[in-house]
Amino acid sequence: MSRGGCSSVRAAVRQWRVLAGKGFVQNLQYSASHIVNTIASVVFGLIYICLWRAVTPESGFGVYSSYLIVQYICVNQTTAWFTQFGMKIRHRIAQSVRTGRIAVELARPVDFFCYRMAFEYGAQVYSFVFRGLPVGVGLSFFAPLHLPASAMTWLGALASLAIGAYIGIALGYLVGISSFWTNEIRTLSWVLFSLAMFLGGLSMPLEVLPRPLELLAKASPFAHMSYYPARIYLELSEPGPILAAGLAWAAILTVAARHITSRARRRLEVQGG
Amino acid sequence: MRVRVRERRATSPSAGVGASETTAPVLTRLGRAARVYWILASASLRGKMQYRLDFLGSTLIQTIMGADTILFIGAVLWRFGPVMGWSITDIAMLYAVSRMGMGIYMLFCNELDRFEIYMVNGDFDTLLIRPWPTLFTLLARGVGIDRLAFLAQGMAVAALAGPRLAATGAIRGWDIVWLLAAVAWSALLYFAVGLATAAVGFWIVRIEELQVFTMNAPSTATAYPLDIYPSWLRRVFVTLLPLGLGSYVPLRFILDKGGTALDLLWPALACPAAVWAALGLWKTGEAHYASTGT
Repeated sequence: MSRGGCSSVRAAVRQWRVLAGKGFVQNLQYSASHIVNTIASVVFGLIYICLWRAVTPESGFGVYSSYLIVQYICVNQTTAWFTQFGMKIRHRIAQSVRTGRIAVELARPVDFFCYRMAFEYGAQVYSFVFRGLPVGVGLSFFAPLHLPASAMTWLGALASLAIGAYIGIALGYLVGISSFWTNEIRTLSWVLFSLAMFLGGLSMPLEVLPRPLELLAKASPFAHMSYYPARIYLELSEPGPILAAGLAWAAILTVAARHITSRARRRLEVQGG
Repeated sequence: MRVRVRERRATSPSAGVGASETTAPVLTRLGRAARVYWILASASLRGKMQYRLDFLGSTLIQTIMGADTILFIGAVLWRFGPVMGWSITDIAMLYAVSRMGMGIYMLFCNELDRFEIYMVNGDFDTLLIRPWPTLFTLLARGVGIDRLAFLAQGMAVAALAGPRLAATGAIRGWDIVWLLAAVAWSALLYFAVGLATAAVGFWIVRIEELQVFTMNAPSTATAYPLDIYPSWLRRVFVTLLPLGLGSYVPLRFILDKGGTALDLLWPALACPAAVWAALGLWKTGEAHYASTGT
């Protein structure tokens, strides 16, 4: 790579790091309300733990023992704060379009997609550290959390989570950017949330679904937000193929998001001021 | 700048009602209130119905896509069979009652659900200068017609589960009346909890996260039979966060899953008490309201 190429990559990485840092720091001011939400999340986790304890046969089902299913729920309730919960990218973009601030944001000498993605990624890292991990600690009082011994498992799970968070934010970005065409994104947000919950396997292993739906869910990007990271963490799946599929989805969503962003730029209609 | 508003009642038009009005028949005053409510609510409806196709489309999509909870329950029970003696149709009816109660609450108390905006933006000030109680004006100004999906989901699931339960003899005769009463109790309990949560906003301003704890978590929890939870958590969902009292407790008896006939009586006693306590908290909070300014 040429020296110019290297320096532009370094600048892009630095830009990403700075924006992500801003997203992280911005959330620190809401720590009190986040504590309340964390307690609620522990209750949610407890609800699903109790439900699974009640329904799972003693022999388990498939590769899942009763113990593993509870672990699956605990891991997902913890990591969902990185890959799904607390994301505001949709509303941030829609709000910018509604108020007309979007014109200023698009005029900045920063790529709009990178700007939004990096900022949200930082916010989600905050969310994971200060909201997700406390939920995991809270749930461990009811079901002691499994900690893998292998460093490779940790690395694989973290990489899968990082990709899952990127996919989740990119999907949110696509819903947010739709506000260039329609001011109301609540319905689309709802659709995205429901799909992520149901096809992502947040509250149940996807093997519970009827076979055709299971295959569809496993092939969808949503599975990378909950199901696959949990499977890797619980040492039920090899990380290699999952990470490759996750990266492919991340690339597809990036291309789609950038393409739609360039079309959105052309039809920008500022309403506020 | 935060400006404390304590003397509202002394200066507001409602405080100036004369002796003749205070002695006016209750029915007349109720009639006036109903007329004002209708005027305000229909204005809100007209505003929301400007884009009818968008409204119909979004309601339909929300009804279908928002059914993820019942789909989840369906998938689990399809795989594993009944939970603690509750079959899929039993749980569907429990879900339907709880969802319809929530739907009624969302329809008539939508503004309570988004009360944080009033606190953060200082919009509550505008309610204080109206000649009606603030809660009345608040509820009337935003009928949640755009959140009809909750009620539609509950009714759809009840329409599916009801005939099956009737065919197996699980519900018969007067049970339908008790089921309708359970929907009403659920709606009242949602109102009580929603009102109390909103009232806390007078002190802490931001309540969105608190709503997740007091409304969303119990709402999800009570979609399942409370028998699956440890006893301490079960007690929480029928006392501190009592949404289970309106749906689970009466349905346990109606569907013959245990309990006694008193289970039909408890909600009738507890709901008015919960609403009364929530109204008390609202009034106390209102007296402590400090505007964020507009």
